[in-house]
Formats: sequence, C-alpha cells, structure tokens
Amino acid sequence: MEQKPFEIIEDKWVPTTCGMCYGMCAIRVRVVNGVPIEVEGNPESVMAGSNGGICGKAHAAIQMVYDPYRVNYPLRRTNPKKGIGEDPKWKRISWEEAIDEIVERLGKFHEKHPEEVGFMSSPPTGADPACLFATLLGRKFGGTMLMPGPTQCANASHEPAGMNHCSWSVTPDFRYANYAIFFGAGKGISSGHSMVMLAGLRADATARGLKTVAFDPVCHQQGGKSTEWIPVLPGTDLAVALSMANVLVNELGIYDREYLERKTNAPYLVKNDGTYVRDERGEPTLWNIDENKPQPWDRPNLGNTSLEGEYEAFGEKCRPAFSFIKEHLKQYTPEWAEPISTVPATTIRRIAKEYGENARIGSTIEIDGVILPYRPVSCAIFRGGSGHSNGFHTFMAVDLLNHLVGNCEVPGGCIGWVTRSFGYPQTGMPAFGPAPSKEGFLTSSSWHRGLPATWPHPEPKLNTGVPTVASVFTLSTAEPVLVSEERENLFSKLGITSRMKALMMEGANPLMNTAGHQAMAEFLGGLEFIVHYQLYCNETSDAFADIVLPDASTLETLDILQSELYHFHYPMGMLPMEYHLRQPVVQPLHERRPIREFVLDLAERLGILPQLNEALNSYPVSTGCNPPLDPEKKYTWEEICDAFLTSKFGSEHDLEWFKDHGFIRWKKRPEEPYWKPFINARSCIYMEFLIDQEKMTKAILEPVGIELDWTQYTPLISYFDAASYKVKDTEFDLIAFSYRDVLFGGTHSQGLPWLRECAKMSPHSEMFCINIDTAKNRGIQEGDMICVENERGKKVKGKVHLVEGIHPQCVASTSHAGKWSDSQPLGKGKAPFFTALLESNFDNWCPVGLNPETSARVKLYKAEDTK
Amino acid sequence: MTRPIVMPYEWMSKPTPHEEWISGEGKLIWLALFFMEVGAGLCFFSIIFDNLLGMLSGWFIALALGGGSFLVHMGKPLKAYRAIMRPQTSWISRGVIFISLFGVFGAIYIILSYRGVDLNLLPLQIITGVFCFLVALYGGVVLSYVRALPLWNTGLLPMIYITAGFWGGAEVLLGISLLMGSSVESIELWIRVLLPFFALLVPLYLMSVRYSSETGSLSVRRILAGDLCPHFYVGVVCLGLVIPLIVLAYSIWAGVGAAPHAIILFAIICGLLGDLTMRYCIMKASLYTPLI
Amino acid sequence: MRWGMVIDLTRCIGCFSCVLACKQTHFLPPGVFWPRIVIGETGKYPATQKQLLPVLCNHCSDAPCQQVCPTEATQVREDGIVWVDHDKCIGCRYCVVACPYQHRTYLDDQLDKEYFPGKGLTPIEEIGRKLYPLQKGTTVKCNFCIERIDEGLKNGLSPGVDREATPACVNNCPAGARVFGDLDDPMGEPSMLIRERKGSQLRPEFLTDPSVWYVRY
Ligand SMILES: Nc1nc2c(c(=O)[nH]1)N[C@H]1C(S)=C(S)[C@@H](COP(=O)(O)OP(=O)(O)OC[C@H]3O[C@@H](n4cnc5c(=O)[nH]c(N)nc54)[C@H](O)[C@@H]3O)O[C@H]1N2
Ligand SMILES: Nc1nc2c(c(=O)[nH]1)N[C@H]1C(S)=C(S)[C@@H](COP(=O)(O)OP(=O)(O)OC[C@H]3O[C@@H](n4cnc5c(=O)[nH]c(N)nc54)[C@H](O)[C@@H]3O)O[C@H]1N2
Ligand code: SF4
Ligand code: SF4
Ligand code: SF4
Ligand code: SF4
Ligand code: SF4
Ligand SMILES: [Mo]
Repeated sequence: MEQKPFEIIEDKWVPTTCGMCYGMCAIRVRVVNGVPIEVEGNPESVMAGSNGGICGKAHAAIQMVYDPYRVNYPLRRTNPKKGIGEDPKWKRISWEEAIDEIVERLGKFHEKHPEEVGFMSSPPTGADPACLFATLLGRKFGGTMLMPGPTQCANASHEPAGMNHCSWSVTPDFRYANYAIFFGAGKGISSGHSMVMLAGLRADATARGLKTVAFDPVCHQQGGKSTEWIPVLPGTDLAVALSMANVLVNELGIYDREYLERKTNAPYLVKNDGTYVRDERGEPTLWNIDENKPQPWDRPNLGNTSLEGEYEAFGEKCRPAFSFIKEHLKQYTPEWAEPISTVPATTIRRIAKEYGENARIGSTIEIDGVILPYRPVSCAIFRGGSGHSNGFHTFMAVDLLNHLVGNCEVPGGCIGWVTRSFGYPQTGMPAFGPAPSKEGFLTSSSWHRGLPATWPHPEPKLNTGVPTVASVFTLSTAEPVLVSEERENLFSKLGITSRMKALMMEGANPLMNTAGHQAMAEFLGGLEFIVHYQLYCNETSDAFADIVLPDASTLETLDILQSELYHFHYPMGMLPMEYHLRQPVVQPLHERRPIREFVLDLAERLGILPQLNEALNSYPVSTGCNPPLDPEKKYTWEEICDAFLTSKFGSEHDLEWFKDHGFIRWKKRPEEPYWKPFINARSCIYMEFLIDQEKMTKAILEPVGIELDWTQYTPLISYFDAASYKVKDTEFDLIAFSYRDVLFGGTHSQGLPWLRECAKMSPHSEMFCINIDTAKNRGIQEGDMICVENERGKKVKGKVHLVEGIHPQCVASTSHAGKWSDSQPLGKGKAPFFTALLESNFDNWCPVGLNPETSARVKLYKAEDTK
Repeated sequence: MTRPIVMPYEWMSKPTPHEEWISGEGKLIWLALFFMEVGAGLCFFSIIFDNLLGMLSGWFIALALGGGSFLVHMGKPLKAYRAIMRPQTSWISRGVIFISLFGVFGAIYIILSYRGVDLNLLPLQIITGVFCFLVALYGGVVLSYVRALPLWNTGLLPMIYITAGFWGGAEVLLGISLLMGSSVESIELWIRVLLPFFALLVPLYLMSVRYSSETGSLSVRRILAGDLCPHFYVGVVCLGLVIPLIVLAYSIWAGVGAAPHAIILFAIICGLLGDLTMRYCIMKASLYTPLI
Repeated sequence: MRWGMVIDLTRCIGCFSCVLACKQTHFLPPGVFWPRIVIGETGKYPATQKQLLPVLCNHCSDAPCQQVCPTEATQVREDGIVWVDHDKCIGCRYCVVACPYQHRTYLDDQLDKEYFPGKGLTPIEEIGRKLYPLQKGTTVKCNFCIERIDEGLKNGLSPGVDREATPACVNNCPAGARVFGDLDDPMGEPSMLIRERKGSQLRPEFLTDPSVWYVRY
C-alpha cells in the first residue's frame, strides 16, 4: 500500500504537569504538527514515577483535548425546568452574553448579600481546588465557600493531619521505610496525593525489602499489592489501631519516651476533669522529674519530664496525659477488637510486635551530615479508613501509633507533604514551615481555604448572617449541613435566615459525589442561578446549571498555582525540591477559555480586581509576589505567572525560561523534610481542646435541641461504632463501601475511551464485588445483576463480580462511577452508582469533624431482570 | 448456560476459548476444513471406483468450497500465493501446496478421463490419490500442531479428521452412486470399516484429551457436559453416529444395498451433519490455558 | 544479543500505564491491545493473593507463531525480536490461533472504528494513521518497539538504557517494574534481576522459551 507522504513540520516535547487527578505529576507531551499525540512522565523530574513513568489516566489527557463531548462554547439553559432527568436544552451563547448575564446576576448579590453566592471547586482534578477561583475570587467577592464533593473527601483526615503534621495528608517516607501499614489509603498504589511519585519510591523500597501491611476490606489495589493483606470490616480500623496501641504500650512496653516527652502533649499534666493544669499564663504544664515540680511546656531547658505518676501542681491533683492514655488503652485488648473488626487477636498482636520491633526506637541515621532519629515504620490512613462517622478518632488512633514510636517527620517514618521549605537558595523563596503555637502545638504557615494556620482551631461561633454552619463546626474542612437533609431544620432552629441563592462552580459533580445526593439535588434545585465552569456537561450541570462555561483542560492551560496550594505538589522526603509550570501544549480549542483568565475578567467587571490582586500578592500566605502586583492594574494571566515566577526565582527565571525548562530544581536540606526534631513544637495525642470545643458547640446547639453524640468529644482517643454498625435490622447484613479505581480520576474521566477500554479488563471498574461465599449463600453467580439496598430503601443496581479477596460481610464498588448523563455517553451506565447508598445527616456524620459515613449497611439480592 | 464461557475481564485468567477460527467469519475455516477433507475423500474414492461425477464433485467441493472458504477468510486473498513460503515448518504452507497440486493433478485427471484418452492413467491416479490423502490429512494436522490448545494438540485429531473426511467422501460417493443408479456395494464396504472406526476414535480421542491436562479436561467437559453437549449428543452422537450405525447394521444384517434408498440417503445426510458438528465441537470447545 | 524484558511483580501496581503507553505510541485502534493486564486471584479467603499480571508478546525464541506462519511474515530476528512484516502477511490467522499466550490480534474492522463512535476521527487518530500506518487484513502484535530499538541503535543509543531507544511501556511504568535489555549480557540489568530474584518465564510448560521474564515476591 502506498502511503501518501506525510510531512512532519513540527515535532517537540513540551514539559508540563498532569491534571488527570490531583497528583500533579510532571509530564511531557509530544506535539506533532500542533497535535499532542503522546504523554509521558517527565524523565528529568522527580515528580513522576520511576524514570519518568506515569499512571494510565495521564495518557488519556490527550483524548480529553479532542473529546467531542467537551463543552466548547458558553451554554445557556433554555428549559426553565430543573431536576434530574430534565433535558436542559442547552443553547450556545457568546462569551459576552454569558459574562454580561453573570455580572448582572452576581452584581445584585455583591452589593447586598455576597454571602448568598456559593463558590465551589473540585479536588480530584486539575482544576486546582479552592484555589484562585474559590479561595481568591470567592473570598474577595464575599461569597460562601463550599466543598460538597469532599464533604466526604478525607475530611476526617485533614484537620487532624494538619494539626499533627501540618499537612493535608500523611504517607510513609518510603525511601527509608522498612515497614509500613495502611489503614485504608491507596498511597503509592492507586490513589491519594502524589500517587505516581510515591509509586516509584515505594517500588524501590519494596525491592529492597520494605514490608507493607494493608488493613483493607478488599484485596485489590492496596490490599492486593501489599506484602500482607488483612481484611478488616469498614469503619472498624479504630478498634484495630487502639488495640495495637494497647499492645505496644501495655503489653510490649514499646514506645519512644523521649519523643513523647518532647514532641507530643503526652507529658502535659491533666486534671481529673480532663483539662490541663495550666500556669499563670494559661499555658499547659508538665512535670520536671529532676526538680520535682511543674513547669510550663515552653521552658528553655525542660530536663527530664514525667510521662506517668500522680502529682500535685498548682494545687490540683494531676497526672501526665500519657498515664491517662496508657490506662485508657488497657480496655482495648486484641481480644476485644477481634469481634468488632474481624481481625484475629493473634494477627493484631503480631502486627503490633512487628511494627514496634521494626521501629528501632532510639536509633539514628545520618543524612547529608545531619544526624536524625531513624524510625523506619509508619501507619498511614486516608479517605478509605477515615471516611466514617468515627473518622476523627480513627485518624487520631492510627496517628497515635505513629507518635508512640516517635516516627513523625523523621527518616523512614510517617511524613506529611512538603511542609517546610527554606526556599530556592538564590532567593530564599518559597519559604514556609511549621512553627510552635498556642499550648506548644505545631502550626503550619498556610492552610486550606486561605486559612493561615492549622492550629489553634477557630472557636465555634454562630453566624446567622451566612448560609452555612462552617463557623460552628470548625473541625470540619467541609461543612456538609448546607447541602444535606438537615439544613432547613438546623438553620431554622439556629435562626440562620440567610440562604444560598446562587452558585459558582468550578469543575465538581456534587450530584454524583455527595452522600445524600437527593438532598443535594433539592439544594441545587432551590438556587436561583448556577454557573458551572466545566470541561463537560455532567449530571449536575444537566440537571441544575443555568450557564455552563467551557474551560480549557490541563493540556490547554497555563498555570503556576498547582505548585502553590497547600504545598502538595512538591517532591517528598529527600527528593530534591521542584517547582513546576503548567503550560498549554495546544492552544485552547473552539471557544474554551482557561478559568484563570475568566476570573480576572469577572473580578474586573465586578469591581473587585484590586482586592484580587492584593490577595494574589500574599498568596499563599508567605510566598506571594514581590515586587507586588499593582492593585489597580489589570494584568493578563501570563503577566501574573511571570511575576510570581520571577519574584520567587529571580528575573532570569521568568515565564519564558519556565516554558522551556518546565521546572526549577534545588537540593533540600535534611532539616526540611525531617523538621520535627528541629521545631520546638508538639503534636497532639491527648485532645484536650475537644473539651472546650464541646462546650462551645454545645452552647450553640443544645439550646435549640440539637443532640450530637457528645461522647466523641472526649480528649482520650476512644472507640466508637461507625454509623453502619448502629443499624440493628438483621436483614441488612452487609456493609457497602467504595474504593478508588486507579484507572479513573473522579467522574469526568469515566467517559474517556482509552480508560473505558482498559476498564473492560478490570472487573473492579465496572461491577460490584462480593465474596464467593456470600454469593453462594444467595444463589448469586458471576455477572448477575444484583440490587443493593440501604435501610432507607435506596437501591443501586449493578453487575456483580465474585472474588475470594473481599471481606465476606462486604459489598464494594469503585467510587465516582455510575454516570447517567447523556452529555458524556461513553461513561454512561457503566458501573453501579455507589454514592446513592450513602446518607448525609446527623446520624451519619462524625460528630467532631462532620465527616459523612461513607459505608452503608445494606441488603443484597438478585435483581429481577437478571442479565 | 447464558453466561459466556469467559467474561471479557477473565480473558486468559480463566481457561479462554479459542475464537479466531470459529467465531464470526472464522467459521469459514471450520467449513473450509470440512469441505476440503470431504472433497478430497470423495475424490479418493471416486478414483478407486472410477466415478467421474464423484471426482468432479470432490474436486469442486475441495477446491471451490474448501479453498474458496479459505480464501474468503483470508485478510489479503490477493497475496494468497505467499502462503507457500514456509513448507519447512508451516502446515498451512504444506497444505496450500498439497491442495494446489491436488487441484492440478485432479484437473488433469478429470480432463483426461472425460476425454477418455487412450493412456494408462494409473500413475496419475496414484499421484492424485496421494494428494487426496494429503489434503484430507493436513487439516487435522494444522490443528493438532497447535500446542496451545490441548483439545487439538493430539495425534488422534488428524486421525479423526482424516477418518471423517474419508468416511464423508465415501458417503457422498455412495449418495451419488445411489442417485446415478450405479452399484454401491463396494463403497458400502468401505463405510463398514470407516464408520465404526470413527465411532471408536471419537470416545478414544475425548478420553485421551480429558486426561492430558486440566485445560484439555475442561474442553472435553464442555463437549460432554457443558455448553456444547446439545451439539454433541444430538449432532454427533445421534445424527452422526447412531443413525448411520443403525442403517449400517441394518444393511449388514439385511445385505448390502437392501435398505431403501431414501433411508440410506437420509443416513448419509445425517452422517455428514454429524461430521460437521463434530468438527464444530472440536473447534468451539478448544480452550487456552490461563496465564494465572 | 537477545532483547528481553523483566517484569517485577513486586513493583507493579497494575496502573495500565504500559497498556496505554503502547496504545498511544503505536496509535492502536479501538479494541486492539498489545500489552494487557490480566486480573485474577489465587488462594482462598483470607489468604488471597491478588494477581495483576502485565502481559505482552513474549518474543519466544521457540515461537509457535513464527513456525506456523505460512508466509514468512512473522519472523524471528537475530536479536530475538519476533515481528510481523505486514506487507507479507496474508491474514490467515494461524499465528493468532497458535500463540499460547494469545498475544496476536487480527486487524479486521478495528481500523474503521473511531474512538468516539460516530464522531469522526480525532486529530490524534488521523495523524496516527500517517505516522504509524497499520494494515487491515493483517495480524499485529507487540513488536518490542522495534522501531525505537532500530532507530536508537542507528544513533548509537542503547535500548533499555537510553529512553529514546527503549520500549514505551518500559519508559512509562511509574513503578520501574519493567526492565529492558540484552538477555545475553550476563551483567545486564535483566540478567542480573533474573539471577538474583530467581526470575521465571510465564508458563514455561508451553516450551516457547519467552524473552519476557517475571520476578515475584
Ligand atoms: N461513594 C463515594 N463518593 C465519593 C467518594 C468516595 O470515595 N466514594 N470520594 C469523595 C471525594 S474524596 C471527593 S474529593 C469527591 C470529588 O467530587 P467532585 O469534586 O465532584 O469530583 P469529580 O467527579 O471528579 O468532578 C470533577 C468535575 O470537574 C470537571 N473538571 C475536571 N478538570 C477540570 C478543569 O480543568 N477545569 C474545570 N473547570 N473543570 C474540570 C470534570 O468535568 C468533572 O465534572 O467525591 C466524593 N464522593
Ligand atoms: N485514581 C484516583 N486517584 C485519586 C482520586 C481518584 O478519583 N482516582 N481522587 C483523589 C482524591 S479526591 C482523594 S480524597 C484521594 C483518596 O485517596 P484514598 O483514601 O487512598 O482513596 P480510596 O481508594 O477511596 O480508599 C483507599 C483504600 O481504603 C479502602 N477502604 C475503604 N473503606 C475502608 C475502611 O473502612 N477501612 C480500611 N482500612 N480501608 C478502607 C479501600 O478499599 C481502598 O483500598 O485520592 C485521590 N487520588
Ligand atoms: S497520578 Fe494523577 S497526576 Fe499523576 S500521572 Fe496519574 S493522573 Fe496524572
Ligand atoms: S505500567 Fe508498570 S506498574 Fe503500571 S501496570 Fe504496567 S507494569 Fe504495572
Ligand atoms: S508470545 Fe505468542 S506472539 Fe509472541 S512470540 Fe510467543 S508465540 Fe509469538
Ligand atoms: S496471519 Fe499473517 S503473520 Fe499470521 S500466520 Fe498468517 S501470514 Fe503469518
Ligand atoms: S514493547 Fe513496545 S510494542 Fe511491546 S508492549 Fe511495550 S510498548 Fe508495546
Ligand atoms: Mo477527595
């Protein structure tokens, strides 16, 4: 066959970052004659997998550029009827029309009630959570921040991880680790932050003998790829972790005394009422054994402090917090945990022993001339383990296992994402890091939603003038009440008269991703005006949006902010530091416009551009822009990126330089990733703050007759049943839970042909999974259509895959699947819509952090229309 | 059983059915082998019994129907000539050579005997006969050479195929002779040997595969007790073996040619259908050994 | 000289990157995969072992696909690569049937299919048909990225070491689970891995002597 000669006019590799999940890996894209045809990891960067590897999703980004189902023009809803199943009858409009309408309708609110406008963004995407759009534009507008998708994100992990590690999430320090335990976290296998970077580090560690243990109800990704899989019932990790702590402390006597004394509040003196013994300044005290007297936590030479014993200080009988903890843990024997979690007591003891012994308490390691504590063991937990109504305590219990062996932010141990940076040597930027704060606790220099710090938590306050109770539940990173069935009841009882009226959404598919999705539908249906800035029309836009705006996808976008937000997107541990540029490998097709540019225009039209510029100058907190942007000037987004880059890295490293090089790199010092020994501040293993938190929250809720499970506001990390175990009806005999599929990021990638094709090879991607025995008892066969029903009668249908590798009391499917929108037909109806089984109300929320329960008690039966 | 043998996601993680030569247009290979072998068998006996019409039909069945199916199945039929490039190792190469030569010699033989030329045709008969034999043989060998499929990978398979081919050929010739009103006795004698032999080979073959390997045993189970058992019991056992055997027994008992023609013709058709079904089962039931 | 690959199953995370890297670099049409992941499990609950097994053509040195091929389209090179010369292939599919690992795909109407059905070809597909023309009516399979190897060698690069000369699936593996190199070089990375970690071939009982090896726990 004769081929027509094909002339290659241009063939280049463009460095940028991936946005198919929030990993933000460094990639490079091959562009031939203007068409991106290949994506691979950037082999020069460490922010990819081994030797520039990436995950499967990343490749599909080029299909997304040309996906005919993308939104290419601004669209207006012409069907005034809203709701699931309504055809929006989209009509193409011009950008001018769209902006005019938005300005007109938002302007109305901006003058009088800006808080009635919600700003929502979307974590699992390249859209960059809560960043420019919500945090900056939304805040300057005066709007209400809203993160409904992640009401059930790793909500329960964020606040305590922030408090104890100054980080959004924690992971094993794979480079030096020998033993790592996962309580429901896909780190380095399937999900979570920096998934692919961790995959490379983890693989190297595994090859040199790292042992990984996964407590996980399913043996697929983390369970299947760890050295040991230990099936556990969803939501019972708390029991396992507490009993392991008990074994370490009370049976084996393995704990890092020195670390506990210096780096946690274990030695803080506690009265019998649970509160600290405070000095005249109100700061907590501890007992100096050498001088046999109490002393404030911040005295320069602390000497030997006591962890146990009874004392009298400031006229109060007291004991160090640790002695309370130690005694409290005694009730949590492995034999007690076994029937709850189904993990055999012998297994719990063995794992605790292996963990304790591998911790090498007291050992040190020298890295680049710095001697550091060496603790090559760790426990990690994230959305999977903590996504329950006992999530706060669960995270804290798992983290207790870390603190007991003194492994936090030291080589081989449990580390957070890049929390401390001395900056690029020539400029000292970006510089940030943890510092001591009130009561001796750690605090970070920036936190989500533009908050400055992880500690102290804001005091619960009622603000009846805003349509949210986020100010009441300050331990929640994403307040779910607003979009739940509890809203009207709670708001009216509390006298909150303000209601959300309009919503600006960047990305997000709250209708599919929020527990209690029917309440979400009611909420959205009650709004006057919804703008959805999107790559695709999705279930949410089709049902409720008034205007859909076409965003440029990652490969069509210029950005630096992915290198700024909460410091996720930097290389971990002792990998060198890198700061990346995201740049378009192809100019936005059709009328797609990067949201960054739109935000600047909108701010200008709304008259808040000066505020926005000023906010950018100090964003995020300490590393912003210098020389500052002129508040009065309208910059292009390119100019802003250039200003950010040169302000951080010197005028020679301007935007053009970054476009060529993709990123800048410098070497870290060991004190940066392993900062804990160098910061005189502590983590929390005794949650004294909950006592006040309870009082203040109660003071708001009790008068209006709202009862929470206040017992969870105990300072001592304790066991509580997750909501799914409170259902007593024996007919509902299974626990349904979900897990992320390594193949898909969120709901939108579900319609990409390459990923769909791969999903055909993976029964997990498209089907429920149950244990073969569970199926046998019900006469269910491979591939049967089953129905899973929760106690409120909500039903989800799907095909079933039978495996040995799943807890027999469970049924599972992947999250974010089960699309129904015709706007992305290739992803439609491919898998069960799991989220429909989840409820969002006080019964299902963690009373401390309001984390929704993400497992459900269900019954399961063969659906009539089998096959 | 409504459930497919393997779901797409079970591909090669469970024993995975061979599809290429039996699903969709792959069925052409199944038919090609049947036609070629029966055609060759028919030619073979036509030479022995000097039946020009049989010879012509056999030649046509083998080449036009058999070879034709093969060509139609081919992705690049215009390049079919290339198929003779590797007789050292490839049984398709050998087969193509066999069938080409069979075609040439057969044609010469047909033309010469039609013209009634005054020549000693014996050498040509022998040569053509040998190629008939090779053509009837090679299909089975093509399959049995596939180590990947335990159901095929046995010396008994070519035996079955060639027996079936000759038996089928003999039956067609019997039918032609019956219709032409010529004598059938000696043909029937052949069938008396071939049919019981085939009837013996089938269980022998299945049993030997059954004990050869796990995958082989699963394949046999599909035939004897699985998704293919209706085909096997109705098609192979009942149509292909029992009915012809009854008719055969009757004619042994009552004497050659005693049975009414209609019944014999019916038995012939049953036999051919049985042969075709047997081949279908063998093609369809073959499984690859999983990789996990 | 014998090119080979070692897949380290302790490293592999089952992420499908190899699968899609190959698809993208060879512009494979819908439904055609050269490498795949075979998903299954062994062992009874709770002692279950998940199996996420990445597979690709084994480049067997005793290759049934080559032995049965009547046209010399399938060839085994001196360096061990088993490849198909599409200009010679007649599409008889004997090789497809004969490969015990089932790594061959006959290209029928896949090339007429669009990734977004009914929406026309995307520019990626259009350009792919020019950059990497595949022929309808022939059989395809993983070619160990022969084009990269040959081009790389021509430019003095070494496959398995230099990225441009290394198979796409190897480059794109985030876990470093795929190692490529000369199996005949006893000091090469593949040979060392096989020696030190007791590598094995997939289903050695097929007697094909694969050039793809696996190391397990
Ligand atoms: N059952 C169950 N439900 C869950 C979870 C679970 O584990 N199980 N997980 C929860 C968690 S952790 C989270 S964070 C939420 C996530 O919930 P969402 O934030 O709703 O996540 P997605 O479904 O990924 O929605 C992302 C949307 O953003 C769009 N998008 C992608 N990239 C861009 C871009 O560059 N620009 C713009 N403008 N839009 C873009 C996509 O088209 C898609 O519609 O889901 C939660 N829901
Ligand atoms: N591929 C992919 N990666 C992603 C995302 C994505 O959509 N796709 N989304 C991103 C987002 S928004 C987030 S928040 C993170 C989430 O990251 P992860 O928390 O790692 O996500 P999950 O897969 O939901 O849960 C992890 C594991 O927990 C298990 N699990 C579920 N319930 C329980 C339980 O009760 N106990 C225990 N021990 N295990 C349990 C699951 O089986 C799974 O193996 O991932 C991010 N990365
Ligand atoms: S982990 Fe996420 S960011 Fe990294 S390559 Fe995969 S999809 Fe892209
Ligand atoms: S790319 Fe690597 S880690 Fe991913 S599935 Fe393939 S071999 Fe495994
Ligand atoms: S794996 Fe199959 S296609 Fe590859 S060389 Fe071996 S027999 Fe041939
Ligand atoms: S399909 Fe092509 S490569 Fe395969 S055996 Fe036939 S001619 Fe050879
Ligand atoms: S070696 Fe090349 S052709 Fe073979 S699977 Fe890997 S990427 Fe595909
Ligand atoms: Mo999330």
